Amino acid sequence: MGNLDNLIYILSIFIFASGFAIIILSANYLRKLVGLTIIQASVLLLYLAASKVGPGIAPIDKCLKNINCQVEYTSPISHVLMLTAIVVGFATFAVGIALILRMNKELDSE
Amino acid sequence: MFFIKQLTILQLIIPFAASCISIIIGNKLKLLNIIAIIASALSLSMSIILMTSAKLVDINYFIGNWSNVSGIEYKVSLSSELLLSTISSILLIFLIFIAPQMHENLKKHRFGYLFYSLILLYYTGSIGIIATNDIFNFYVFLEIMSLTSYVILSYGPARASVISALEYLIIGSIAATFILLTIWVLLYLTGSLNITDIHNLVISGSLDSNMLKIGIAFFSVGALIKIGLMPFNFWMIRSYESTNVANLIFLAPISSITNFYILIKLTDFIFNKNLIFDSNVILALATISLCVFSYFAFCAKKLRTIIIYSSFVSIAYGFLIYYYANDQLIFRHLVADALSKCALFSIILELESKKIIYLEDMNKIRYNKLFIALASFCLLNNAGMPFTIIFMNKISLLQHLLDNMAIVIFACVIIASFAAFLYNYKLFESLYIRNDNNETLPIKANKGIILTLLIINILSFALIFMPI
Repeated sequence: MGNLDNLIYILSIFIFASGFAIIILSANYLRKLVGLTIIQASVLLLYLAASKVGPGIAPIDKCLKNINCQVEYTSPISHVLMLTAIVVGFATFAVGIALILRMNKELDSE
Repeated sequence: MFFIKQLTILQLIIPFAASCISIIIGNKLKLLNIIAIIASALSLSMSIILMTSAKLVDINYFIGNWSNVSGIEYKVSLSSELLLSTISSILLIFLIFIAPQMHENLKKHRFGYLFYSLILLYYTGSIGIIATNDIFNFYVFLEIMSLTSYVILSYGPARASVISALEYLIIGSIAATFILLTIWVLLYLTGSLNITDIHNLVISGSLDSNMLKIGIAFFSVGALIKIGLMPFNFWMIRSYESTNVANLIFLAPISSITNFYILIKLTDFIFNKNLIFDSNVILALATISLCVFSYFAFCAKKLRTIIIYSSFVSIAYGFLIYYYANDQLIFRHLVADALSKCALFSIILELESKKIIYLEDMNKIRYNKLFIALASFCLLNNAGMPFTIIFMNKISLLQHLLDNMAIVIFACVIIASFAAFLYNYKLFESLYIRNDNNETLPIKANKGIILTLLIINILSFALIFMPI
C-alpha cells in the first residue's frame, strides 16, 4: 500500500523525465515546446498529489454552519495554485508558438 | 503610515495599469512614451519615499487586510527599495533619452507600439519579485518578467535573435519549473506560502531535513540558470549578442538585479546561506567563471562581446561578495553593477549606431571630447580603478577573502581585476588614444546617450557615499 501511495510521485517523475528527454533529443523547436508543456504537466501532478489528504473529499463545504462537523477535506490551495500555473504554462506555450511562427517566416524553418 | 503602506502596492499597480492602458491607446508612440515616463517616475518617487520610511523597520502590506495565513503579503525594506529605486531610475533614463530614438524602427512593425506595454510589464514583474512576501506570487511575477523578456529579446536586427529568444524561453521555463518544484517542497513541508512563516518554520528545525535539501537542490539549479552563472549562461551569450542593443540598456541591468535578488530572497529569508553554498560547487563555478570570462573578454574582438563577458565576470563577483562579505555590500554591488551595465551598453549603442562593431572599426572615427570623457569614466568604473565604486567593492571583498583565508579565490580575484584593467584599457585606447589624428572622421555623439552617461556617472559617484 505504501508503494501504491508513492506511485503517483514515481509517475510524475517519469513524465518529467520524458518531457526533459524530448527537449534534449528533439531538433524541432515545436517538439521542444511540447516537451516543456509535458514537464509543466508533471509538476501539476506533483502539486495535486501532495494536496490529497487520505480520506479527504473534494473541498466543497458540506458542513455549512454545523460546528461539530468531522469531514476531512483535500487541500484546495494546490488546485488554486495550479490553475495559475496552467495559465502561465499556456502563456509560455503561446509565446513560444509566436516565436516559432516568426522564425518560420524569417528563416523558413522550424 | 496608512498612506505609506498603500505605496507598497501602488508602486506595482501604476506600471501595470500603464501597461494595460498602452495596449488600448494604440499606435501613438510619443503618447505611449509619456505614459511610460509618468508611470516609472511615479514608481521611482514611491520607491524613494518607501526607502526613507523603511530605514528602521520593514513595511508590510496585506492585500485586502487578509492575514498572512490565507492572504498575500507585500513587504519592503531599505535594501529592497534601494534596488527598486535603481531599477526605476535606469528605466526612467532609458525611456527619456533612448526610447524616442527607437520610434522609427518601431513604426516599421505592425504591432511595434506594444513594445512600451512589454517594457512596463517587465518592470511590473521586477517590482513584484522584489516587493512580494508570498512565494507563489513571487513565481507569478517571475514568469511575467520572463515572458516579456523573451519577446523583448526576440526583437533584434539579426535573424538569430528569434532563435536565441526561443532557446532562452525553453531554458528559462525549465528554470522556472525548478523554482516551482522548490515552492512545492516548501508548501508540502510547511503548508504555508508566506515567506516569513516558512522562514520561522525552517529555522525552528522541525522540518524534514532531507526534503529541505531536495528543495535547496531544485532551487539552486533554477536560480543559477536564471542568474546566468557558468555553465548555465549559454542562453545569455546568444540572446544578448543577437538582440537590439538598445533593449540591453534597461534589460541587462534590471535582470541582473532581479535575478540575483531571487537568490537573496530565498536564501536569506527561507534557506540558510551555508546550506546553499555548503558543497562549494557554486563558489568553485563562480571562481572559474571569474577567470574564464575575464580571459574571454580580453580576447574578444567585438565590442558588444567584451561587455557581455564583462557582465558574466560581475555575476561571479556577486556570488563571492554575497557569500563572503556582509549583506549591505551585495546590495551596493548590485546597484553599482547595474549602473555600469546601463552605461556600457549605452556606449555600445552609440558605437553600433555609427556601424562600429569591432575594435578595429574605432580607427575610422573621432568622437568629441565630452563623449570620450564620459565613456572613459564608465570604463574606469568597470575596470575597478581607484576612487570608483567597483574598486571599493573589490577592496572590501578582498578583505573578507583574507579574513576567511580563501587564498585561491583571493588570487583569482586579483588576476581577474588585472584582466579587467587590460580589456577596459583596450576599449579606452581605441576610443581615445588611437583616434587622436587628422585622418579620422569627426563625429558628434547622440545627445541622449551623452545625458545618459552623465547621469549614470553622477549616480555611480554618489553611490560611493552610501554607508555599508
